[in-house]
Amino acid sequence: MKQSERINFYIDTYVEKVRRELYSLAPSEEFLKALRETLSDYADLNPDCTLEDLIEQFGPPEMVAKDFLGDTKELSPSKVAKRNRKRALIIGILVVLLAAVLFYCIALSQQTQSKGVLELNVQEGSDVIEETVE
Amino acid sequence: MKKREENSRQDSLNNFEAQFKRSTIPLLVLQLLSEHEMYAYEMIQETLKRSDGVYKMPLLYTVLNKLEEQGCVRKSRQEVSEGNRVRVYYAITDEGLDYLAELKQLYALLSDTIRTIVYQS
Repeated sequence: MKQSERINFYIDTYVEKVRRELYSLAPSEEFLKALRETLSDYADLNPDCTLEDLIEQFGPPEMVAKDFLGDTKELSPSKVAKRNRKRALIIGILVVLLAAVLFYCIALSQQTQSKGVLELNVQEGSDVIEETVE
Repeated sequence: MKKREENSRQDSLNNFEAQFKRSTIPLLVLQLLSEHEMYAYEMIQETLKRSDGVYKMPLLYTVLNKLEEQGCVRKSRQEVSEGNRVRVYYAITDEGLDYLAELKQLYALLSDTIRTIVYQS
């Protein structure tokens, strides 16, 4: 493997580990891009660096992710509360819709059953009439 | 049990260092930029060099973003590096210089206070 390919592999590995530790909790593409650039700048000056050197220099990926999440506004208490309220509202609406659909299906089923009994009675009634006529 | 206590103490020390750096990084970034414009990794390198390897800066993405939002720094220019990457240089603004002066004063006051209490009592 060429040196540049090896270094790119280490950088990709490090960035990917940080990405995983972010658990998609906040928008982070710009942050990961900046991370990659800084790692690449370090690698330019340290062409023999390994993944362990990157970790030694910039910290473990989970720490890097934790620092970013700790500073991001997306996880501020007010934003988290707002997101939770929105989620609760959507779940509430879905539950109401589901209940409405369920009741409609039950009502429809009951209507169909009672229509079937009426038809049977009418049929039985017409048999009686026919017998009488004959 | 003893190992758990040692680990806990080490965690506390690491946390102390992390908190200290969190507080002082904006001061260092503004000080460096007051000298001349720099890109992010250049600031990390320069701090490491001036501190003889003691002060290892973490990534500066969030700090620079915050200082930019506050109007203390601005992106001054972009340059294509040897590896064909775009390098963003930052420069300090006038508001940044004012803020730096206030930070320096506050840091001097607080660090003198700590030194008096911890080392001279």
